[in-house]
Amino acid sequence: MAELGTFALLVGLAAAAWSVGAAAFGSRRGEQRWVRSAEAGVHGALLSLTVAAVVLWTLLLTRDFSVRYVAEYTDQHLSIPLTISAFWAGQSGSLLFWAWMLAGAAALTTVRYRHRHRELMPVVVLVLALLLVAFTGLVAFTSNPFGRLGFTPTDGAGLNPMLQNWGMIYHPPATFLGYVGFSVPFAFAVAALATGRLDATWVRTVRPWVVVSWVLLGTGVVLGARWAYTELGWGGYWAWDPVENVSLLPWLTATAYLHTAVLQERRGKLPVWNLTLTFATFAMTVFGTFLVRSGVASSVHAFAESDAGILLLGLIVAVIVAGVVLITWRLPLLKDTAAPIGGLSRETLIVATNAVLMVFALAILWGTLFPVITSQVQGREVTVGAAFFDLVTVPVTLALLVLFGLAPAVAWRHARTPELRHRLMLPAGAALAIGLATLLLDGGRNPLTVLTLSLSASALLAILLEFHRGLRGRGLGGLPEHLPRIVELFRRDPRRYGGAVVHLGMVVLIVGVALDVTYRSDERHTMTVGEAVEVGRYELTFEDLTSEVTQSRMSLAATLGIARSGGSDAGSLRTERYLDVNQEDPRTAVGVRSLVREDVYVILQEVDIDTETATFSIHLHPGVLWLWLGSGLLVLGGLLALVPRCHEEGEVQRTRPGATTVNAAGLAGGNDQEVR
Amino acid sequence: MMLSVVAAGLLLVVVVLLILRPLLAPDDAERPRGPQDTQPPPRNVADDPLEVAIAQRRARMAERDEGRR
Repeated sequence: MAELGTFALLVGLAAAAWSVGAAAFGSRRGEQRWVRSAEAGVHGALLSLTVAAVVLWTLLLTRDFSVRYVAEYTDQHLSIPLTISAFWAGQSGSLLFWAWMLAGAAALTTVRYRHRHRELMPVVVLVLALLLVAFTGLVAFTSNPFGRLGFTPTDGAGLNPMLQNWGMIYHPPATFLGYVGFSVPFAFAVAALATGRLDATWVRTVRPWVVVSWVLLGTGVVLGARWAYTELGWGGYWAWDPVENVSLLPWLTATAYLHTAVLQERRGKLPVWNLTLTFATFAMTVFGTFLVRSGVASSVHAFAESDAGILLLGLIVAVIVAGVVLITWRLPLLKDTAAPIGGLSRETLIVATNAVLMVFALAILWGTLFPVITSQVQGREVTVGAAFFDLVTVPVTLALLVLFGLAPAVAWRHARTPELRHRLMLPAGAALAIGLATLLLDGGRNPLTVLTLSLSASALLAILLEFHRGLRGRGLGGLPEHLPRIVELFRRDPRRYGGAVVHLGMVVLIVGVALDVTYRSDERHTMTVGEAVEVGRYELTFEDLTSEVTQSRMSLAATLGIARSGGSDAGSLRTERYLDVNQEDPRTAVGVRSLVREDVYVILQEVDIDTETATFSIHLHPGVLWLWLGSGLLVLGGLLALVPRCHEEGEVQRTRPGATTVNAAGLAGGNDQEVR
Repeated sequence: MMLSVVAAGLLLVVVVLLILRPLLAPDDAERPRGPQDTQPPPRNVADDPLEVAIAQRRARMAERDEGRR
C-alpha cells in the first residue's frame, strides 16, 4: 500500500513536470492543444496526489506501523478524528497536504479561467506547474511519508499531546489552504508581467483568490491563537513565536494588497506596488514554510531540521529574483498615468494604511529574522522578546484605529471639508465621551488603553454610521429602525460593506486585546475540596476532585463552581492533569469559563490526592470573548465581500472581459459612487 | 499488494490518457466556436444616454485630474 503512495507521488511529479514543458512549448509555439495538455497534466497531478493522500489516510487509519510516518504520529489509542489530522502533524505529511492542495488550486484555476484568459493561462499554468514540481519533488525526495521502517513495532509513538486538540483538525489545514491560495495571484502576476497584459484584468481576476486565502489564513491564525489559549496553559493566545509571526506576515501584505488593488481597479494607480505586494505575499508564505521546516528557528511549531529547508530557501530567492527582474523589465509599461494622490481623500487613507501595515510587517520580519541571522552568522543565541513587538504594535494599532474612524467619512478623490466635519462630529464626540469615561474608571493609570478605547469608540461609531448612511442613501431607512434591511445593503455592495464588517471586527478585536492586556489578573490558590476563594468579582468553590485511569491515560480532574459576587450562579469549569501512556511528563488541561465580561481561566498546578488539596493558578481575562467575536466578524466580513454584487435598478452591467459596472444613481455627482 | 499494483497501473494509464487527449484532439483554433467565444458586436455609445452620461462624467473627471496635476 505504501508503495502505491510513493508511486502516486512520482506520477504526480511527472505529470506536473509534463505540464511545465507542455505549457512552455504551447506558449512559445502558440499551440492551444499543448496548453490544454499542460492543463490536463495539472489535473493528472491532482489525481495522483489525491491517490497519495487517500493512501496515507488509509495507512494511518489501519495503523500500519511498518510505515515510519504512521509509527511516529499515531498509536493504537488515538481517536479517529485525531488520526485523520495526523496527516499534517509531521513534516512529510504536511508537505504532501500542501502539494495536494496546490494541485487542487491549480486545477481549479485551469478549469475556471481557460476560456476567459487565454493569453495569460499558458504562463499561469507554467508557474503553477513549476510550483507543483517543487513541492511534489520536496515530498518525494526529501520527505516521503510512505517510507518504511524495516520492522513493524507493536505500537506507534503517538501524536504529541500538545497536538491532541480539536484545533489540530482545523488550524493547520486552514493555514495551509491560506498559504496555498496565494500561489494563484502570484502565478497571474507573473503571467501579466510575462505577457505585458498589465491592465487591471489580472487584479480583478485574482481578487477572489486573495480574499479567500486572506480569510483562510486569518481563520488559521485565530484558530491557532484559540488553540494556544486553551491547550498550552500559559494563559495567553499570542506569544510572538517565530512561526506565529511568519503566518501573520503574508496576511499583512495581503491586507495591504486588498486595499491598494482597489486603487488600481478604480484609477489605475500603483500597479508596481500591487505586483510587489503579490510577489511579497507569496514569498512570505514560502518563508513561513521554510522557517518551520529548516530547523533554523526554535518554536513550538517547528519541525526538525531537514533538506527541505535549503530547497525552500532556493524557492524564496527564485521568487524574489523573478519579481525584481520581471518588474524592472516591464517598468516602461507600468507607468502610473493617473492623477497623483494628494490631499485628504480615501486614496490617501489607503496609501497611509499600506504604510502602517508595511511598517508593522517589516518590524515583525526583522524581529523574527534577527535571532536567526545572529545565530547563523555569529553563532550566538539571541531572543527578541514580546517587548520589542509590543513597542511596534501599540503605535500601529493606534494609527489603524484612526484610519478605521476616518475611512468611512472621507470621500474618494477629494473630501469636502463641510461634509467631512459633519460626518466626523459624532465619532469625535464618542471618542471624547468614552475617553473621559474610561479615564475616570481607570484613574489615569493606563493612558494608552484609555486612548485605544477612545479611538475604538470613534471608529466603531464611524463604521456604524456608514451603514446608516448606506441605508438612508438607498432609500432603505436608517439603521436603528431598519436593521433587517441591512441584508439588502450587503447584496447591493458586498465589497464595501463586507470591508466595513472587517474593520468592525478589527476594532472589536483590538478592544478585546487592550482590555485583556491591561486588566488581566493572575492569582494562585491552594484549596481543599469544598473550600471557596474570592477572585475579582467571583467566588470559586473547589467542588470535586476525581481520578480516572484508562488504557491510554491517567488523569486527575478538579471541578470548580463559579458564583458572581451577587450570589448568582455563573456555571462551572473543569481542569485536569493527565499522563498519557506514551509520554514521560504529565500535562495540564486548562479549565475556561467564558463570560461576557471576562474569562475565568484555571490551571490545575499541583494535587495532593490524600488530603484532597490542589493548587490552582486562576486568571481573569477581561475582553477575551471580544477578541474571538472580533475575529469572527473579520472572517464574516471577508466572506461577505466575496458575495457577487446584486445590481440595483438602473444599473448597466456589461459581461464581456474588463466589463464596467456603473451605478446610474451615482452619476448624479455623489462622492461615493462606484465608477470602475 | 495485487490491489496496489492494479491501482498503480490504472492511475498511470488514466494520467497518460488525460495528458495525451488534448494533443490528439483538433486544436482550439480549428474547433467550432461556441457562444462563449463570440464577442458582442461593437456598440454605438452615442445611442445610449447612460453611456453618454458615463463618458461625460469620465471626461469631467479626467479634466479635473489634469487640472490638479
